[in-house]
Amino acid sequence: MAMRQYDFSFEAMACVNELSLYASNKRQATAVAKKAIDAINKLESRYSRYLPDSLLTRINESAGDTRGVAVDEETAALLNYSQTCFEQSDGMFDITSGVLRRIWNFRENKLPTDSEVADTLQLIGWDKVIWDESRIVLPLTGMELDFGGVVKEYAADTCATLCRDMGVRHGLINMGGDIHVIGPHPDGSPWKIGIQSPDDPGSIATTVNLKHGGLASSGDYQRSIVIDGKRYGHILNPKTGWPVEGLRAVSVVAPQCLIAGSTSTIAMLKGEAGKRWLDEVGLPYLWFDESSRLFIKDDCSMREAS
Amino acid sequence: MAATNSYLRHLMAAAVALPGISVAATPIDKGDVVVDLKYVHYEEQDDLMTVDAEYLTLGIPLTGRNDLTVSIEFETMSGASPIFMSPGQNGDPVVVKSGASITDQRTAVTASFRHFFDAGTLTVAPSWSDEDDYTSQALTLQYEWDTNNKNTTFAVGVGFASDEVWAEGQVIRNDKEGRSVFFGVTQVLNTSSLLQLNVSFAEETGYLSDPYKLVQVQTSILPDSRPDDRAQIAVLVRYIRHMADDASVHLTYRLFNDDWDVQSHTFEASWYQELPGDWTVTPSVRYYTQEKADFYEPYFVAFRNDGYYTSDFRLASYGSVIAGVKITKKIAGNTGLDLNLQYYARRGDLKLGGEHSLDPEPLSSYLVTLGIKHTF
Amino acid sequence: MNTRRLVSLIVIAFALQSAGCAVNVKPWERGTLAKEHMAIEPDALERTIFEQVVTSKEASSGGYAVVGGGCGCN
Repeated sequence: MAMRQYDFSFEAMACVNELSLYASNKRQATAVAKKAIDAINKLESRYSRYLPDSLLTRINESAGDTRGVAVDEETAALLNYSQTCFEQSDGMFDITSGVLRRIWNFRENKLPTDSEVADTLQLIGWDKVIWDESRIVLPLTGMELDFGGVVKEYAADTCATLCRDMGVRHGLINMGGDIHVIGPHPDGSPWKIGIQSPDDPGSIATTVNLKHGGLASSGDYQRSIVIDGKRYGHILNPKTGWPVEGLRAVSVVAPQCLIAGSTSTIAMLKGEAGKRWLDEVGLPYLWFDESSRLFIKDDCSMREAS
Repeated sequence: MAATNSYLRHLMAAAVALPGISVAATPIDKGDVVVDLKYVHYEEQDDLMTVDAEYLTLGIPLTGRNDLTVSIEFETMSGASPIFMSPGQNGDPVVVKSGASITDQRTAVTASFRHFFDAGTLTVAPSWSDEDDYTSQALTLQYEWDTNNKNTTFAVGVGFASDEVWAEGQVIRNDKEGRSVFFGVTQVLNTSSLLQLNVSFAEETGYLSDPYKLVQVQTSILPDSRPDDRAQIAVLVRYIRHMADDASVHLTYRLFNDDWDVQSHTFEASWYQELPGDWTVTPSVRYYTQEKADFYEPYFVAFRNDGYYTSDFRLASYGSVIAGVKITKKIAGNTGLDLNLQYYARRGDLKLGGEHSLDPEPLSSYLVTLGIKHTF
Repeated sequence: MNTRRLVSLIVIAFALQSAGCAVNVKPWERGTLAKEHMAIEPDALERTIFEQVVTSKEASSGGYAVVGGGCGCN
């Protein structure tokens, strides 16, 4: 059957997102898109830290309460995944590190004081959290979980899985730059995914051709403080409380967007050492160095489809 | 590498526990091996030339940054060719053909190696061609890059060829050299159309005559004799536009000019129509009109000061029309079959405007191409 | 040589190029352009074969791609 591409644009998780699907007719495409977007909205309503009645807000509001909060299986799996990332990154990937935002205000050109940093670090550490795979306890008042770098990517995977389950073979979901390719264009050609230049978010530094799987980026795109000519980016080291240095942005290709997302985040947090680590991980990737020069790892499939 | 696998293994294990993540393996994109096979049959009416050829093209990804395409071609030609023309009873030219049928075999190989740099793609393609009366060695280099978020693509290329040509049975091999440069710009106009503009310059030097052809000058029969230098320019514009319902139109215009005074215009139009069941039907037409070389005549009533003569109808004033239809069918997403039927007519009076050459034997032929392409 | 016409064509090319700078089709808007039949040369091998046939009957060549070696297809 001749299929056409249908594009759906929607807002969720503080981003404008795009779902592109190939279907035989508009009715079919809309039915699939509606279900997929509903699933994403549901994830947002559960895991947004901005929504007052989300499960995450409930967990965060329980901080200091030793009874904690009982969670469902999906949340348990997300927490287990986050714990795995924490362990695999030697504590660099930490979903409790979001509290650093309280002292790093990137809208004002002002650095936090050493004592502010030291006080905030007290509230950080997945190892301080009590997690028994069904109940979570944030033992200290002021502690907070943040699924940034996990939930948006997971939402892209969830959306792709749903679309595939509903018979879509060709399509792509783009959640504000976190992408899961459901399958190539019907003629077999890959999707061309633009990678933003960190200096100029409006321009595209390169494109990645992808037929299947996830692509996610992590980096310092705009928010930064410049003091005495030194740039302070918004990727913060949970151990020091200070911005990491070495890389400007990293994009990783992986079978799942979730894995691409956490891998790119860990690489950014590792700074200069992140490149060697990525080589060891063995996934295709590209990165921008501090002066925004682009490097592409050799077997990242960057080429134009001919 | 142990850390590698353990990192990914741990993350994968944790990820697949999530309800939204499917366990189905989704492969990471790598280049594909592509095999493209074509069989060509070309036949001219009135028992002139017949050509049968097989083309095999193999595309092999080497690493993510390199790939290689090798093309091999076998061709068998047979038939008679016009040799020269004589004035007939009322001055109209009469064709004199080679009596015996000539047969010739051609084998050609092209290896095209591409390297993908961050900034662009370099293609290096040496080629070899061998016939009973012709050999060619050539090399082309091309660099392609884009700007403006991939909306503009540029290409520059150079080509070199070193050929030898002779008539069968002839001992002397005549040398011929070719050099060319190519510039191209492709511009995305909007989400559904693009435009390409190419300019190519070529220069050939050496023996550019046809060793089999003769001319009649008054009552003498002389060999075909052309200048030993030919400079050519071609300017080509292509417009591709997506039309409603899975169809697109491709329009091409080419202007060609050389310093033998040949000038031509080529117009091509094709309509790609996708149909249910993974079929595509592409009707196409091509119209070509040419102004003759200054030393072309069917036969010569006087000697020329420069000594150049040709009665090869390729260099005459004429027009031609090609009409064709191509049908392709995709099977299982990675195999494509195609059949292309084209009819060709070349006649003096098909020329657009001005005088055309006297044309005692209009040429008509057909070309059948049958292809299969498989992506692994 | 029809120099004037050639010059005007080259001028058109530059005009197109400068008009092109205003064009900004985003990668995710390229679904249509990525279709096989929107490729400049959907079947490259066929173009090669076709050019070989017509250049054996006509005096013109070039313009489609960088040209390499020839054949004695007379």
